[in-house]
Amino acid sequence: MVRLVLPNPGLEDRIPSLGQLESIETEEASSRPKWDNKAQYMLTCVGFCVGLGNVWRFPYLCQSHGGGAFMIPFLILLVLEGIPLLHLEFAIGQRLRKGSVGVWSSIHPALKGVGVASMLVSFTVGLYYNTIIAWVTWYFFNSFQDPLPWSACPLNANQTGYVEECARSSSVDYFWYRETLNISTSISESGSIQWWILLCLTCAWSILYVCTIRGIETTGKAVYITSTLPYVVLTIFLIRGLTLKGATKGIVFLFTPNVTELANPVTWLDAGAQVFYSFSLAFGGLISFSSYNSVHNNCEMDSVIVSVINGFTSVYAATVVYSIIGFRATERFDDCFSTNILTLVNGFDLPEGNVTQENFEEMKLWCKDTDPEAFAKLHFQTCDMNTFLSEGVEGTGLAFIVFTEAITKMPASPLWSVLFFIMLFCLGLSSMFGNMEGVVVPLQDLKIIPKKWPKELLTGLICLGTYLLAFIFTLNSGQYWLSLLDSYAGSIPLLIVAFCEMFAVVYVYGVDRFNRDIEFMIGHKPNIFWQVTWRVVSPLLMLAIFLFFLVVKVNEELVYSVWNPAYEEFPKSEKVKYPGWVYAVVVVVAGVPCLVIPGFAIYKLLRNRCQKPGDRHGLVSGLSTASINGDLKS
Amino acid sequence: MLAYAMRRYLVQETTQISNVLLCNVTSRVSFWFVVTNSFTNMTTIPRNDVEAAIRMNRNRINNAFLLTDDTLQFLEISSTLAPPAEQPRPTWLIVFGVILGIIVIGIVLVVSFGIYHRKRYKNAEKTEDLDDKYEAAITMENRIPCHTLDLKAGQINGVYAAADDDRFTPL
Repeated sequence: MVRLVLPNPGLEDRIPSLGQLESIETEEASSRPKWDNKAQYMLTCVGFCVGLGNVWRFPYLCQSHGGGAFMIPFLILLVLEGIPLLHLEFAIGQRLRKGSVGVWSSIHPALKGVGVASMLVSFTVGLYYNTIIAWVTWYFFNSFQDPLPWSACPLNANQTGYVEECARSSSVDYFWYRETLNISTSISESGSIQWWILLCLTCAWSILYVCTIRGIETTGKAVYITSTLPYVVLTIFLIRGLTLKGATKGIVFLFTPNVTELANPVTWLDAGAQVFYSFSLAFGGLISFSSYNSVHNNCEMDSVIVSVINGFTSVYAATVVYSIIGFRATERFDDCFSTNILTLVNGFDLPEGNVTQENFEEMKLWCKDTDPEAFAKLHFQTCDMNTFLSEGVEGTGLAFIVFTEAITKMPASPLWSVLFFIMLFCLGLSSMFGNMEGVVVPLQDLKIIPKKWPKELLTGLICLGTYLLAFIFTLNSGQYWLSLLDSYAGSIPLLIVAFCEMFAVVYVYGVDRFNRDIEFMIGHKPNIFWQVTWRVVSPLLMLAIFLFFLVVKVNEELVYSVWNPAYEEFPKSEKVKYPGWVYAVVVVVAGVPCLVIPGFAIYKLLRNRCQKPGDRHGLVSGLSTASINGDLKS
Repeated sequence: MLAYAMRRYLVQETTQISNVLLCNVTSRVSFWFVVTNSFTNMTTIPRNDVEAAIRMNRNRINNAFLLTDDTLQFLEISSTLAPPAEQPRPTWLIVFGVILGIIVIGIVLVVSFGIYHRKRYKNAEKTEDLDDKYEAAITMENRIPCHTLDLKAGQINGVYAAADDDRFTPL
């Protein structure tokens, strides 16, 4: 067992002792918020962890890395990486009873940078995440009409056909890229602000403000709906999906195991990254939420429960998504086949109904034999079910293109559309609660904000500030900016912060002290599983994932996909290199949070060196009062 | 049918069925046709005119055969598509307005509830403070409130009470 603990003088002064913890709880009751009941806390944590990634990232990873076989690395890494880190964050928050900045600066003043880095990452992620929610609200508002606006292409000027861009791609593509985003052809062409997206952005930020206006007092009420509604909608979709033709093909495609993928290291690393990002670790929000708990809350059980729910939701959502994808793929396949049948029938003047899907191949051969010349002139499309099943099915492509297309083919489409976008909205909003907590509480802890300011004002200012910054995503090039931030703002800094967190708790705070704390809080010492994972396994896994990411990201060329109607292979996206100044943006966005950690450490150490040890304390002023009649109780 | 169409278009009454020449008739009912000028039986009427005529009377032609634009196709005459159902006003703006209205009302309610709650809390605190001060204004002597010392009965000093008469020297 590693028994390394770094020297940490003055730790006792900075943290409340175990004896004080009990009394602190009663003292804090009026000044510090606390959960109304355990259910609120669990729902908030589950809501924070379960987000859009469970619906549109996990199914894609699952299907592309060997289907059912992907469950193996996913579950192993869930247990070895997700649960220990989650337990660590819950326990340290509950013990030290502060937000992320408070916790890390209590452990050691030089570690304040870790908290600040968490805050910066929460801020950047919240900035673009709420824009995705704004897009979801746009689709939601547009779902209240029959037929849905993305089900048919608009007509061109003389009404003889469809708009060219739409005819060459598809109506759902057109609605997403042209009518929603009005996307430009490169990130440098900013264009102007799209007013309809701006309205939706206003709506999204207002709803977020209403729900987080007084911190967990208000979010605690909101999560009753935002955390439970997605499960209800997923179940409805599952029942509906299973009755559609071709749904089972999709589910079978998803879960068909391909065990050879397990030998591919990329599979394991993608699984690790997915577990890590899916748990919303290192944002600081979980530490904050946990600090409002009572001292003897069983954080060990909580972490296991939340992890299990998160894993289960990923698998459940994947099943639902792929049942719908299977349906869509079958529809496309049938259409493609019908076109081929029509080509054959037209080419050879065969009567209707003679050629069906079953006898197509033999009829083809027969026609070929009868008239090879005419047959050679015919042009058949290739209809491959697997291609349809694996088409562009992650991220915004899944939600706004593939799924919306599937919905238009279902009867009573506006209803399904409304349900689907409400679900995405709730998933995103509950994750945003955690992000906001991860920004508001550190700002309060850093004492930048005067204490007199009411919480409503602080939350309002943060929402307003981020809303104004988010205008950049309403430009024509907004979606490119969003993808840029999505790839770089959240990935590397979070891994570094998580690694520092583990290191700080295990080696700076001291894992022995930590064990004693947990024993005090929940009644028994953490068992050997936690000891091994906290000290050795999880930090190594974090390091491995971080190194892999670094190597991949540094080596890959910075290219991005662009929607360019002038591209030869349109409607495929064109891969274009980022312009030079984007590198600077990436360095700022990803580098600043990382550099804040050593930056603060150096700053604190320098300040300690400069101050001589003696003159740390100022003069203690004492009161002397003459008391004749006794002193007033004050 | 086609003759009728040509008649309508050219506003000439003279085009007859015999002016429409068919060729390449197949058993799946497809054929090529040309329309000759009724005046001079040899020249054909230009393609554009024929196309325009057919476009104008497409509905009539379709109805005569109980077919639609999908099932009766004139090659290279693209049909005028029916525009998709255009809403008179954008529905999404209505929904957006409703939801934003609800949110604004929500914000106002929550903020005012917060302010009201804080005012009540401050008032409650103020009255608590006054009570404290009132208590503290009670004068004290050696930490014992004076009014407890004003017992009418007086305090009996236990030393003398427990005294035996023998202890004291008699007068």
